[in-house]
Amino acid sequence: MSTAIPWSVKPHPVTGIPNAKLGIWLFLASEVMLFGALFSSYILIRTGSEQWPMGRTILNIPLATLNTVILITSSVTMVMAWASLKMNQFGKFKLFQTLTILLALGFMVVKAFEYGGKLHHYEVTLVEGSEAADKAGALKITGHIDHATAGNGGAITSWIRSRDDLHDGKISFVADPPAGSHEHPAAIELAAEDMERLTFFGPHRDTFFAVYFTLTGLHGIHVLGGIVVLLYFLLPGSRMWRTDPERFTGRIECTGLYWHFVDLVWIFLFPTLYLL
Amino acid sequence: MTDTHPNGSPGAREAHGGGHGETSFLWKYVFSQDHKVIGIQYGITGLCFLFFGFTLMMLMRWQLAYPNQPLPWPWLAELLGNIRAPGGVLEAGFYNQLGAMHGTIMVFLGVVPIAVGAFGNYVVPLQIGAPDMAFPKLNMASYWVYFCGGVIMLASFFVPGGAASSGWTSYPPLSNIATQGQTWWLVGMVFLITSSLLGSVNFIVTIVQMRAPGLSMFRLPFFVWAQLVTAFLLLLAFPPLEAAGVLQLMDRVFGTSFFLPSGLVVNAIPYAQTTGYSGGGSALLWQHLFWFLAHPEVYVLILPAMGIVAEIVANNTRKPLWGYRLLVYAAIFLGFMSFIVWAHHMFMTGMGTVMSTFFQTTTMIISIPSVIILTCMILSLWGGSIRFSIPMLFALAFLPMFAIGGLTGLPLGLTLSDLHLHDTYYVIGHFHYVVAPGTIMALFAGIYYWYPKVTGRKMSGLLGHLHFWPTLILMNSIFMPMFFMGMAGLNRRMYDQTVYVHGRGVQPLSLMVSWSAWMLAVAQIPFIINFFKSWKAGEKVNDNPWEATTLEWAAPSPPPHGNFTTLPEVHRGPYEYSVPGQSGDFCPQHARPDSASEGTPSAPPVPAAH
Amino acid sequence: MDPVKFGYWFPADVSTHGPSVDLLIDYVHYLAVALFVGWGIFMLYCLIRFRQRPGHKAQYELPHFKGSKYAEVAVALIELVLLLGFSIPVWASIRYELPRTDAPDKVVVRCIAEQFAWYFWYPGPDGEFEPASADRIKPSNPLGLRDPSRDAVSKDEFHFPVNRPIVVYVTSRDVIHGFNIPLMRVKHDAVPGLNIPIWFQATKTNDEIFAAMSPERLRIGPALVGRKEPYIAMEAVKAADGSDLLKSGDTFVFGEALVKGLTGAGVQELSVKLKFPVELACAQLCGNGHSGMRAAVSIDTEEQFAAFIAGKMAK
Ligand code: HEM
Ligand SMILES: [Cu+2]
Ligand SMILES: [Cu+2]
Repeated sequence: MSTAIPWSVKPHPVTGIPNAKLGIWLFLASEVMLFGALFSSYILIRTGSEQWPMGRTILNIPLATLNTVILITSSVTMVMAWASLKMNQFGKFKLFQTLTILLALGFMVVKAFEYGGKLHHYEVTLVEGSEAADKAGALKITGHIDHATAGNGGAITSWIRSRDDLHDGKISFVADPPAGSHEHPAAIELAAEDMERLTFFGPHRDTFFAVYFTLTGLHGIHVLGGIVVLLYFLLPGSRMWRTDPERFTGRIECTGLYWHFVDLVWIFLFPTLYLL
Repeated sequence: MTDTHPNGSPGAREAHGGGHGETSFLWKYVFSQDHKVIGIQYGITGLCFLFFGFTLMMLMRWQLAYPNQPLPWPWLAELLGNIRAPGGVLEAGFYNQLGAMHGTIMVFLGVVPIAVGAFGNYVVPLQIGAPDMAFPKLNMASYWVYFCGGVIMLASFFVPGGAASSGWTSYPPLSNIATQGQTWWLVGMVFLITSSLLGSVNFIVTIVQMRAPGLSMFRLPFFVWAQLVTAFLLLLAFPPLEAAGVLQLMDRVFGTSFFLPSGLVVNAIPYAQTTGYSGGGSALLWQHLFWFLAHPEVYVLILPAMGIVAEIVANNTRKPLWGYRLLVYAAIFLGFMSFIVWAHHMFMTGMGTVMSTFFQTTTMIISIPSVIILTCMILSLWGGSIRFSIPMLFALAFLPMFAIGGLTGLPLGLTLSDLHLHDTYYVIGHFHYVVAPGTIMALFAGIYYWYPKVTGRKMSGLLGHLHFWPTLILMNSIFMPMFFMGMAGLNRRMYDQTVYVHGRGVQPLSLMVSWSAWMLAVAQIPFIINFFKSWKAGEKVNDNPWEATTLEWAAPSPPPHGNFTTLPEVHRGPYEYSVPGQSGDFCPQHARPDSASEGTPSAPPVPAAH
Repeated sequence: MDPVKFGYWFPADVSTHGPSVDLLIDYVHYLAVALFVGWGIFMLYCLIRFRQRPGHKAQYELPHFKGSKYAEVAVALIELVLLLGFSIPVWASIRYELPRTDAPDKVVVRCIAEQFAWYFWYPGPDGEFEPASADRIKPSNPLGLRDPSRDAVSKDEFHFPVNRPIVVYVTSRDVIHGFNIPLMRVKHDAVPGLNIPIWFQATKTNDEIFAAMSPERLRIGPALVGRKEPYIAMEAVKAADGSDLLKSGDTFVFGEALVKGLTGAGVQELSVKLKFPVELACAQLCGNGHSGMRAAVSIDTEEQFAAFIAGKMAK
């Protein structure tokens, strides 16, 4: 008797689907539990916090909207890629698969810009009663660092993560425009000793950013994983089309299911993080 | 099965065809995709980890029996080194590492890999008449991911500060501020979780899609049902722990505060001053995520054991199981309920009355299916013709041992009685009765039972008796005293229980526990000898030495690549023993109703299971 | 009062709610033992009667066991009674009743746990807790109070009066600890970020418990070095050179010198009593010092308690 695995291509007469498709659905069920647990944690932390910033006041909505459009489009091209195989048009499949990958990469590039913006956006907590605090009129100001000089007078060009990176130097700090305006106030000089805490908008800044970076980061890893799989089936994996087209089509279908799920997660992330 | 093979291209190694030539040692035994080889790999690795986890515990038992006295053998102290055992005395931090790693290794690297990875992998495809698991490559990947997870866990003992030391539960903030070993633990867990997820997908697909013709769901052996429910638990309960692990990694690596509330003061210095952390997290969040996994995990530890015992009880009583359908329904109900009892581990954290009422009620409800399963198995003995084979002895011992474990769970599930018993040795006694004299006995039963299938040889009965009786007695003299220690108020995870007057009061019991544990190690020697010796020198037996009915016995011993020489077809339920009007006392699932060869008369087909 | 013994089921119990806890534990165990014995007898009977032997054959047709169904329903009912009749109502009363109602004679204490110490913080005569801030923490002001002289703070020694409701706000400032007094059936996690009130009431004073406690024979060994709790010697011990090491009735603390002296004098066991026989233990793993994280509990008479607070305020 042959040892080939039954129902690895043909649908099982009772369940109506082949093995791989059942497998991917089960995998997605576990993914739902994973993101479900993370969303629940988010809700728990948010309801337990004293104050929670509105995502739209800190995050970049236009970029995120662009990304939403990109990702939804990529889901469409993914479906087209699979449909092309179904219609036996391998050339078209290659085209749509490539498009999907390009869109996914586009998503990651936009994401990188978004992350980059956060990593170069700073918050300074000034020492209570210091001259700088008087001048700034507030204890906490946000903005970006125009340039920084170390204690010995040399310029600091590397990325500044905390006050310690200043080496007792000072920064020229450009505060964000006040609400309702687009004009940045003039830069102010802040010495290291004026500051209690200097931090960029990274995951450690507060629980909002912790949630933001963790959820979008994990989603980004899923996108990257998707890109790897898509590339595999575009290049070396596509050889199977010649030997076993039916199985190949099945694999593209499963990839598509995964890809739609990744898309769906983003559809949840976008409103909960950016809008609410 | 005339499916054309994937990658039919010449030379593709993954070609799964039986008898293809390219079988170097490496591909046949190391990176094998055959479920039987993978099962054996899981089994051997799991047994090694089980023994290692037990060794850690034997070390701890020295400190507990003889607090702050140097270890009895200088070479041992030397081996541990001056940091772990200065002057030969176990250091408190190292003791905590041993405790945390004992728990982690026993649960995630020992019992689950044996119960699911080894028995599930080896037996399930055979029992459902399939040539292999649905995704052989994924199966191999599961094993190797598990293996990497194990290596990471072991390696963590050698990083600065040693292994994780915050208990197998890793409660933050303690685990957040712990040494680097905790990060290794988290990464190791991510590997183990991934492995379990891959495995569970594979199991479910295999059981749902690949049953032999005629093998309807209610003709499945109970063991397969148990594995199916287990796979669902792994699939759905592990992701939340993965989420928790990711959050704790973020806390430890990127300085977030998911589990750190505001205003912490560590070593009398505000934590924000030393680390710049933001606060705003919740310490209890971890506990919710952790126990959402870890309670279903308890059933992952016990369900496969129940499955093994059911097979052996049916086989050795020579009659159908009592209430097969009831068993199946109870197992499914158990699996479902296990997702909504998790907070009974958190009664002392200050939850409101509504929450505590809900969770004690669900906990009482979940005890009912356990009582049903146990009752069914015991009633199955009635009217049998009971053979006291070695597997049967272990399976019979499982029943009262699991009963003790289950019954002592009741006072822990009621908030009022949990008040006194929570976090004491009573808890340790309770869950060990479930997993050690319970599950471990069942795993031994399984090893003795399926050994002839794997090797074509039986293990020695004399050595089996020498293994069974001391193990049974010692298991009890280890864990029974713990109930009394807990009753006296002695807390668990104590480096030195003689600090407290109630601890000193039960110190003699502690000595008894320690000596029993060390003797238990000695009692395993007959097993180890038996296990290795019988591989080559055991009594040769036929393909169905126990005269069993389920499909794995229809395959040759050991089964070849692809398992069955002829495609099995199933005609009846799993436990058709002593069917009236037949000559033999068993009627295999695959025996044709019309053939007289297996002692089956040409009578009308026997009805399916009950 | 009964002698204080350990290892034979429950230890002594000196709280008002304790008996209901013990009662429920007993009842659950009656149920458990009854089930276990029932199963066990049935199982043994089957194993003997239905053992394999020549001429004996298994029955395929299964008898219909009504009994099992009745037994399962009975178990469910008993569990229901235990749940609804005991656990839920009593738990609700011991956990929630007092902090809400205003008992005039209650004593309010704050307990703050840290690695590896317990702080008990009592309001001064004004009945108010001083504001506290982590920035002010220093050895002389371990809780960072605004004015430490206005409140009483005790480290590792928990005093409260007998026969009065005690409300304790339990919290931690680093990791999770467990506030546990086994002899009073009191247990609650001390969770950082949460400040949870629990309450209890003692029925015996320290002195009464001390009198009822039989002396224990302590093994002299290295584990005793570093113990901070005071003991009272119940026998006299002479050193190797004939001088007095301990006189009967002495209050003492084990130290390296004393342990060395005792070992030198060939003493293997020493008859002692704990000065504070009721102990508070940490019930949650909290780090390397977890098992040593104990506090003495002193259940005082009104006068003793007043004197204790006055003594702490004077400091
Ligand atoms: C048969 C030999 C075994 C012995 C003698 C043994 C003994 C112990 C003891 C004495 C403790 C309590 C340590 C403490 O509180 O300080 C403990 C903890 C534990 N054991 Fe075992 N055990 C055995 C087998 C197992 C098995 C088979 C499992 C799991 C499947 C297991 C899982 C655990 C867990 C999860 C803990 C809690 C660890 C923690 O505190 O974080 N043990 N064991
Ligand atoms: Cu549980
Ligand atoms: Cu503690």
